[in-house]
Amino acid sequence: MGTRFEIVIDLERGAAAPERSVDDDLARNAALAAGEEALREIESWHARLSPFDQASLVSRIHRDAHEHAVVVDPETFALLTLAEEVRRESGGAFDPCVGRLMHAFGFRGDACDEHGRCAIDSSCGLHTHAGASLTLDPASRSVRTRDASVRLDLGAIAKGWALDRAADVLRESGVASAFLHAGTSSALAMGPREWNVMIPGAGVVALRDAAFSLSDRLGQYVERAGERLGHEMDPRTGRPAGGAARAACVASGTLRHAAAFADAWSTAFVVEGGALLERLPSGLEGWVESDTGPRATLGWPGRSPRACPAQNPGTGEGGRCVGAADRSA
Amino acid sequence: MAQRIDRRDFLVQAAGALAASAIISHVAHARLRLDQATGVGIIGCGRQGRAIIAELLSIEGVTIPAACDVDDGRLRSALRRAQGIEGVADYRALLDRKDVSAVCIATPTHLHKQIALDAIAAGKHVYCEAPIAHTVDDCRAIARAARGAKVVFASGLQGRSNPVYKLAWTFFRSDAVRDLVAMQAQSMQKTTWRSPASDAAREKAFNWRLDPEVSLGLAGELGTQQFDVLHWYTGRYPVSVAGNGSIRAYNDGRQVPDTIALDLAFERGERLQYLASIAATYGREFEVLWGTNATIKLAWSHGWMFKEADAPTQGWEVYANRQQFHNDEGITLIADATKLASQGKLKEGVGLPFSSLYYALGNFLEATTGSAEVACSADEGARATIVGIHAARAVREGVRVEIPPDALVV
Repeated sequence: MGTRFEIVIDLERGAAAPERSVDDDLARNAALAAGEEALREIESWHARLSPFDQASLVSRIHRDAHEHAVVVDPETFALLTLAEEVRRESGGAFDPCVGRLMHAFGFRGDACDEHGRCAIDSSCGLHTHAGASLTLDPASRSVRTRDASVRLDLGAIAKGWALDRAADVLRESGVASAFLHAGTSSALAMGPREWNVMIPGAGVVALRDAAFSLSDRLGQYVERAGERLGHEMDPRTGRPAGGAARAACVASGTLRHAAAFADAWSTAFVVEGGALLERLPSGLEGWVESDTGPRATLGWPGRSPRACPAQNPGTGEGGRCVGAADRSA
Repeated sequence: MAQRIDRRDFLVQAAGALAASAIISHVAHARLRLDQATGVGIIGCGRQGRAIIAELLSIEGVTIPAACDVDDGRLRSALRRAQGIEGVADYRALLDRKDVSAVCIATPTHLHKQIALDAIAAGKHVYCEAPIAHTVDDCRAIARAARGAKVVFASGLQGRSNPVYKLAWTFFRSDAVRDLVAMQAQSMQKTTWRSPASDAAREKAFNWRLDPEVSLGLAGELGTQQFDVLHWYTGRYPVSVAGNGSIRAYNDGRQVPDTIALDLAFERGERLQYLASIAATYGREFEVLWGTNATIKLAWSHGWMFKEADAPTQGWEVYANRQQFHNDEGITLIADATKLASQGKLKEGVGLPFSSLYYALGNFLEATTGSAEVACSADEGARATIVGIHAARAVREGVRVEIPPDALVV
């Protein structure tokens, strides 16, 4: 998934074996083993979803699903079903099939040839089909793509999905309290402890048994003819999105796939802008920053800006402190 | 843009660098579909058991009626990933089921024997993870039971069913490398080798790899897979093995080394140098066979042939694609490249389209329907495991251990 994942396991409130004391080496070893197992789960999802790996499931779908239905495992089917659900509910602002666009604009390898000729320039978009590119059949648990040009790009949901599955593994290993993040932009707080996440310049978001995702339109960009083109694609126009500069989503941990939902919806907000806040399903809260200023849903758990703690181990790019083990609760 | 070079420059470059050929078989791209429905039971739902479930679920015609594990947490973890599978705690309940015709054994190595014998006795086809056992006696017991049975027994040594390895094997056996000079293999990972236990009472059982009473260590658990590849290619077995091991990274009270080195001497004087560690990853996992005409390097999803500058040109090289391979210009060899190109698959790259485990399970399932020979029999699995057991002893005792021919009689 091209990013760094980190897991902080809270030994005091959620050691792998609750009856043990914090000083117990066994508890530390068990927590380490649980974390390792969770990271291995993330690696397995990377292997399944990477379009760059010939052996990945996504590559198999690209090769075969336009010719015949490709049977996938139940978890991958659930992921694709969820992605399609968000696509429908967001009016197409989120779309799991933007792979061709991502490549055309140079976000998935070089889009230009040796003479500098590019598939796309800044003045035009790539013709895309509105509506579903995937057909999912629950009875056979299979996937078909509309045609051979369809390319999945699950970059806007895969990190969250991987965090959800890693949290499953931690719970099954006896871990009750932990904080997980992917590249500081997607995070999941497991358990009753409060973990604080900072959006630079916009305040702190308190997470307790919840997932968080922040999308930044220019978090990655390419420059064409002096214009910065961001990495969030609008599949309806075939161009980089222009809806909002930044957007975030918090999903309740009661949702089965909280981090995946947060990930996908934060992307949809950047593509569509604040109007989507009105259509957010229950269990989700949103925050959108655009030219007219920030807007948020009523239940948005953000607080006023403040500095990250100096000892914050999660302080990352741009002063963001996602991943902070802040115990202000 | 490709640079033009004249003949003299080419000869200078060729003499200074080996030509690399990427090897892949078009057969690898075929998707497996079983014509007759096969119910497969999973015994052992740890990491490997779950990996097996994931692969089986993508094969048409396969159902998994039940999975078994003595640990409720592991069982739940496996069932969460697959719908409609019944969980059982006792493998004998799984063997009693009529809708299960084959089983995959993915329990700790030292528990394989009894389960394998019971499964064979129950008339179930068996895919047994490798190493197939932790003692020579257990290996022989499994091999004897499998030989006398009417069911298929497949040892989970994946090289023999891997399309890249099978294609490279044809080059090796057709004398493309000429005289074998040396062999090298390694398996480098970064992991504590610990497994999380939701129940503290199961900690020791879950961490059997770190239990010197039952664990074959890196030599047996990782080496066996790779030794078998070299047995298969050369048709020979080592006659002795020297080993050493140490704990380089995990000073947590463990006794099983996290890093080992082996020197295996083969019948005709060839040597295999083997390195394995769970403390560093560089180079990952591969096997290399050096020859006087060419060297073959196998890395599970990919394989390459590096030709010596003075080796004769083969007919197939005329049709091979040329490509830059690391710092050398080489030739890419892809079997049936024209066919793949017409299907638009060449542009996707030259790696295997499925995992090595997928092909091993596919071969097993095809063998159960009578449409294929099992790639790795119980006998070969037993012999590779016995070499692994001797290698584990060499590491444990820090000495050279002889492997007399009768030790490999199974």
